[in-house]
Amino acid sequence: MDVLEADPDAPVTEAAAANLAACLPGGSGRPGLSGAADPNGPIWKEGAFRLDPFQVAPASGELGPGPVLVAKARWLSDRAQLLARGGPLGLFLEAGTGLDDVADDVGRFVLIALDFPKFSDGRAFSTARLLREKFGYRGELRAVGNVLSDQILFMRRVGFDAFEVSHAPTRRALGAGELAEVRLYYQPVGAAAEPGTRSWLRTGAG
Amino acid sequence: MSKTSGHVQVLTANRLGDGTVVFLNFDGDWVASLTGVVIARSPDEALGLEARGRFDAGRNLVVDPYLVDMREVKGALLPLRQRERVRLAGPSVLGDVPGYLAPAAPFAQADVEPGGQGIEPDRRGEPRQASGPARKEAA
Amino acid sequence: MYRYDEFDAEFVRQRVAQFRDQVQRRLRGELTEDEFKPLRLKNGVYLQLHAYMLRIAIPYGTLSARQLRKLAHLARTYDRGFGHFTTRQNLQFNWPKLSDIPDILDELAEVEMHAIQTSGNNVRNVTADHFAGATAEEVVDPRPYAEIIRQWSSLHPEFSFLPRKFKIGITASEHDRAAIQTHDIGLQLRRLADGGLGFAVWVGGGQGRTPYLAKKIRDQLPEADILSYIEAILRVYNLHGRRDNIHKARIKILINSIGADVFAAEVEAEWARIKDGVLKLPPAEIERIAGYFAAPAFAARPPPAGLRPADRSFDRWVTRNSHAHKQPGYAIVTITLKPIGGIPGDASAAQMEAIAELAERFSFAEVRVSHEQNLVLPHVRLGDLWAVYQELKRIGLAEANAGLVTDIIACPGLDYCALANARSIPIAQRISARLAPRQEQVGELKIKISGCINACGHHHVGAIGILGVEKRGEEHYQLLLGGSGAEDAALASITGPGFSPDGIVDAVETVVDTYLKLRTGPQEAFLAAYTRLGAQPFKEALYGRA
Repeated sequence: MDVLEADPDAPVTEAAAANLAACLPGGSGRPGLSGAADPNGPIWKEGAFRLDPFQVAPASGELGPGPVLVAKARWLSDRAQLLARGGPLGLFLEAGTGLDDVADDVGRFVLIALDFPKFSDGRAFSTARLLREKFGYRGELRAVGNVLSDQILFMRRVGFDAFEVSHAPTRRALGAGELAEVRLYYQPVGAAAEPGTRSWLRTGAG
Repeated sequence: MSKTSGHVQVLTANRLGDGTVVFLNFDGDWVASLTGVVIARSPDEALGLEARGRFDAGRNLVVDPYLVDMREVKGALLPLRQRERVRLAGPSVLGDVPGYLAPAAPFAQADVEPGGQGIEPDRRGEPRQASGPARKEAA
Repeated sequence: MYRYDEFDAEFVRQRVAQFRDQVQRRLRGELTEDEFKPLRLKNGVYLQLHAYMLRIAIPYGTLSARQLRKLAHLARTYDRGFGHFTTRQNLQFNWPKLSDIPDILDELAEVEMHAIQTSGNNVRNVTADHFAGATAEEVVDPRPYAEIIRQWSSLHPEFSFLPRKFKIGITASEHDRAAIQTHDIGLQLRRLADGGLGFAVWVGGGQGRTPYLAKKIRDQLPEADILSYIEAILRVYNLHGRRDNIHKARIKILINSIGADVFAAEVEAEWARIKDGVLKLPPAEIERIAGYFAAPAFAARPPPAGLRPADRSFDRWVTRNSHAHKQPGYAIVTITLKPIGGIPGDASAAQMEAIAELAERFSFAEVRVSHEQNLVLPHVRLGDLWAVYQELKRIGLAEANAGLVTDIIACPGLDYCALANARSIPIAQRISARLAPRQEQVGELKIKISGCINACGHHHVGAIGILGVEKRGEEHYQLLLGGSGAEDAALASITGPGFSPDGIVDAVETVVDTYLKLRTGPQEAFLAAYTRLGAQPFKEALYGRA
């Protein structure tokens, strides 16, 4: 689904449209924005560590140019200005944040970042699935906060495709392709039924 | 930190690899016995012990270090809390476990007061052997 | 019983390899204890008072003889010669070395066992009626559904970091031996109004610091919808359960705070969205799993029980410890792990092996574990009861006390557990020894003892419940009366001030004496008498008139 088609009734300036179009990558079919590969980059995405193209927006006040990651409160209060500004938008959601008040707008974001404030706080796993399966979000879904290697496969399966990783051993394992994982799954996740008689159960790593 | 005068503290933890209950001794080793254990007699000494515990946990020698409040009785150390007495002496019921296989090394030796507080006046800190009334014996 | 196929076997192998890697990283210091702790908990590894503890899953309490032999071998090889059967139908070893645990898990995998999710904030062992597949009382055997839920909940990517542990129990009989109303989700398998099979669903039961009985939120759930419904419940809980306070994080707290109706509405709304999706169970799949639980090849007409000498203790044991079987000529045999004055729930390696042999010879190689810390031989021919009894006598497990006052449930307590405040085992031992001479006179009376408020001894649903606490550094015990975990579920009430370790044993005897004095006759069991009389006469006997 093209980001620009998310809400055809919303006013879209020419500059905004041009900016968004420039951000859409070539062949992935999914709107998104990937930073340049860099071994010291904070974001693990598409098989590499990368720089983060997004600036974190302050709670209020001036925004610099370029892709910006806004917290939900700012999105709700400054929605019109943010849309008019143009440029790729990212939404940051704290753990446990409700989605109902942003549900209609998920298509406007090329990035949604979900926080894991503690290793043990698993709310974002459900939020991720709702974003993907209930609201049809197709942009980058990034796990931020406490991200450890033993969770990354779970995160992928519920729909995350990018990970902000600061834990050094996790970064090493990712870089070396050495995540010890269980690559057989007892349960499908996702909205699409899988072929075969055992559709509710048991798949190998895709 | 001991709140009551007359009480001292020792540092305990579990060994990372096998979980054994251990205490910090004067050589800086973690041993399964109170013999030669470091005793903190002041708040400063207690803080120092705690810091050493954190340090050794960080070095992955032990897990979960903490201070145990002890009474000194005729040169022996007696934990204040029942919990710590049990932890020191081992489960109080091992004599009643059918088929219990004692380990090669004894439990922490402690001069726990015989006949002291507690349910059964039978814990003297000695390692338990497989024993018990005939009706519980496994063939 | 369920047999692993290639997928299941490979899953467990990969899990063990993953944990072996995690253990090695921990021992090398690449993981701190804070990072390692949630990982080891997901593999059933606790750090207890004296040592690590390993909790092995026994799915819905069903064990093969071969598996029981392996547990005996592990007890001897890696531990101290015994194991402890728990109130969730699992087995605990009290002394494994962390460095040995990957090897233990490899050996368990050889017999299709594991320790996955026996701890941690995820779905725990799904427990079931320990008489499932043998009792005439059930609609159908509930264990295929327990197996389906077990598989679906294993390493579930969305539900591996719940606010707190999550326990599911299932029964298929009106008489609830699985205590489903004390579970986070309790399921009763039943025949629906349209003739199909389905479930009544309860949510929000749980013991611990604030006990609650579960509330029924759905009366008629078709069997095909069970997974999607459970997923909806878990998703609502995962998003809204409290994360700020470990003591308020269970689903029972959430339901009590927003109300069962509001909770049910949230669940129904989410379920409506997903019910026809990938989790709908195809009938062929239910049948395929149910095929593993088909009844064994019962003899249509087993030979009659032969002549044997009159033996009153055998007769007592048959009366007390055997239960009617759905197949004529067979019985369900309970082996209480509660010898008089013994440690509740413990079995030595030799005892385990002897029971495995009994199972092979007399029970189609199958054993069950009950949440009351006893074992069951589910399919024994009446003619074989004598031989079974003789062997149980030889190994010291022939006490005829199933359900009696000496069939005590006790958590490991302060003798083993780092969370405990007081010892529970010696209390159980002394009560057992004190009341054994009168146990038949007293009749059915469940005593349950917990060594701390976490209530692993299930004291809230004991007819007599005992809670150990710490008072000024010493052990102290509260007494509760009138609880039940069965279909007449009720939470026990505290009687008044607590007791010393000596005092609590006397207090239990006082309660028993009062019951014996005031009951209408032997036919009025303790719970019925307590319901009729109320707490007052017991309080007066314990504390004197106010």
